[in-house]
Amino acid sequence: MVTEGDKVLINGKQYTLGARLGGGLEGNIFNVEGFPNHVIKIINDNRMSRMQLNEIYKHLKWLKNLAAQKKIISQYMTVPKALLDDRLGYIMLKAGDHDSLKNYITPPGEPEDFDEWYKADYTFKKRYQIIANMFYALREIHLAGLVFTDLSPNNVMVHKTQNQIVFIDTDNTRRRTDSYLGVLGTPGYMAPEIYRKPDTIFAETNNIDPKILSNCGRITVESDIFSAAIIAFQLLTLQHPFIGDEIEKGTPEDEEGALEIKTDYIFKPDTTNTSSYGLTTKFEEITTPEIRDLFERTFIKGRDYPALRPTDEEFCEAFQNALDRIVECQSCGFSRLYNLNDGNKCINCEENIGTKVSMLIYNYFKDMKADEAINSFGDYPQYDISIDNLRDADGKLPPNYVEVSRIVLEPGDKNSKYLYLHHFEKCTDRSKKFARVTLMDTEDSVKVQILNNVYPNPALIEKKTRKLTPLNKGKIFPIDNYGVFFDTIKFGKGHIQIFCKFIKE
Amino acid sequence: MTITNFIKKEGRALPVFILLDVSGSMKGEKIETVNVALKEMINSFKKIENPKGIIELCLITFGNQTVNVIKPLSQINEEDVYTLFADGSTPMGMAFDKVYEMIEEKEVVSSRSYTPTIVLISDGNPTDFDPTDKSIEEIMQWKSLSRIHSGSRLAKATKLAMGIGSDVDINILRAFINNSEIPVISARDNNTISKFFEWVTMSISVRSVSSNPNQAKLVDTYMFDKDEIQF
Repeated sequence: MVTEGDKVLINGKQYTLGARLGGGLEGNIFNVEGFPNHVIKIINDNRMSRMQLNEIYKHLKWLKNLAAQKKIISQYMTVPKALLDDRLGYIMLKAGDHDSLKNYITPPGEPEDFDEWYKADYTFKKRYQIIANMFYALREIHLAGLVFTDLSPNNVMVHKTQNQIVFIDTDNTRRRTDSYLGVLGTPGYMAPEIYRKPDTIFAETNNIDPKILSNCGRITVESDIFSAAIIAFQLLTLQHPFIGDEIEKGTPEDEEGALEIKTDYIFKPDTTNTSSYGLTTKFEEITTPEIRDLFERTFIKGRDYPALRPTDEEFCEAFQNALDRIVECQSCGFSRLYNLNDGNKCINCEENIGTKVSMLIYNYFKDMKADEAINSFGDYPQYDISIDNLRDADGKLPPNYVEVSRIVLEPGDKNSKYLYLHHFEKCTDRSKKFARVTLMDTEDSVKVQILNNVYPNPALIEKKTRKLTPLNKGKIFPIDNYGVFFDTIKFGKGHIQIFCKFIKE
Repeated sequence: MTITNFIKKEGRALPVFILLDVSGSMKGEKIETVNVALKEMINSFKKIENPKGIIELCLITFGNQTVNVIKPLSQINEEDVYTLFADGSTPMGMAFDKVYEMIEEKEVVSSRSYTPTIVLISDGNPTDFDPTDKSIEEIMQWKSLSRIHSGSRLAKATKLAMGIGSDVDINILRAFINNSEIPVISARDNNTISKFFEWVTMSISVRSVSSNPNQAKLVDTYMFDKDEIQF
């Protein structure tokens, strides 16, 4: 057994193991003496056959080389920087300023500590940022051609202040094209198809490779998305999406079935597996219709048909958009999502949150209709994109403009909102901060500061006269009289203009 | 109505029964080693953070013609400090009967609980049954022993056993475990007693935090020497 103080060799140089940080059946993680930013993982190779050892070694080496080639991977995953010479193990960067995601889904033991826990350290807003970041990071991994494989709260680390995500325990990461027919993952987070075996008899009688039959027993991008959706659901509701009250009160065997995803989604219409635990009773207040739809697609039809699950991008976008609608109750400090059509009662004290100022950002298609604008992007051939897809939040079909984002504003400097690329164009790409918007305490005027001149010539537009005043670096103006206008961008045959208006409803 | 009305889930219990021989032959160093090892085990269990299965411990001793429930099945708390003394005979069958009653009783082990673990530690043969020259099949006929394998919950329970010294019949421990994949641990000296407790502690701790405690495996027996393990 390896212990603190033992020596290991990396590229011929000797290093000393520091304190043991953690580990389990698979292996142990140690500090490295003299290298505070690194840790060494020693894989527990007891009882492994020579072939198994070889396979793991080959896999680690592949992962190390891959990360050296694709820098983006090492941003989101802890990967081997070098392998040990004399043992099965590797050295990697330490996820130091990070906190396990597990802490976010494990409420404190005493109910009276819940308020403080939820409002101070593990806030609603943080949860939304974590989910958006998690799907963003997962998307990057998938785009790099990889499948993470064992996605569970234990394998996700969250930066304590900036909420970025690092996936740890990456030993099981595979190429997307690898056929991998083992049951691999954590019960409760593994997609149901992983437990299913392909129909080998059918394959044999028809002389086909069972690997190509279906997703059965195969770990895919879709199975990663299923795991991530369960984590997201737990972050929001503090409850597992397949464990309703009847399971919670039932035997461990019932629970085992639910963890193998044999039960219904707790919000499936007509199910008996409903839940009253955690924040499930507040589900409507803490999610948007788009988010509820994504969960339904993943957990109802997507439970049995992996191909019907949404993409990483859809999740990322929905959570990113919802972040702009988080409002805090003035009397008790709990947060919810601002509902544009209905009442907005606090989820905790039931106080009415009142009417908020929202900033709406539109793309306006000058000299052409919206569908023509879409079709002109990059001179692609004319795709059949229906204008129905461009309905705005009111359900109206504008002939030539589309709502891109809607940001709920709250007064005061500390509630300033930052605008990024995705607020101006439909996309999930990360960008610098473009502008800062602050609602003044009177709630009848805003301060817009331009931080980065990506769109040329920002200007205020007077509602009645349509007169433009250059915004330059920023201005304070009354929201009843002005909107904000960004100059035209040439796109194909027409122009796209971006304009923002402010509403209070 | 406030959010603090939000219903916190009751965790599921992970019951652990320890059946401990405190007959006269355990006197001296053996029982003292057990006392230290038991204390270390309880301390380790206290430190487990965010368990999925909440460990409930029951301590049953058998010796001196009687069975004592030193700690009824319950969660571990600060008052769990035990100093055991050894004296008298080895009524192992009575201990089996006790654990049988407790596990069968729904009010002691609820249907929500994960499958129990039963740990047997003895340095001699039972005085209420003579296993000499009997095969495992014959030993299994002993009612006290056969009953702890009956019923779905008892049959599924993980059973671990350590025999201390050479006076204890290995077959009776094998019959108690009744699972060819789990070895009997044979203690040559106090060092093995400590290692056995360490093995039990690690295995139960791993189960406690596992996402499915009913499927978690025992930890590897690498800490034992070859002659300490008997399948």
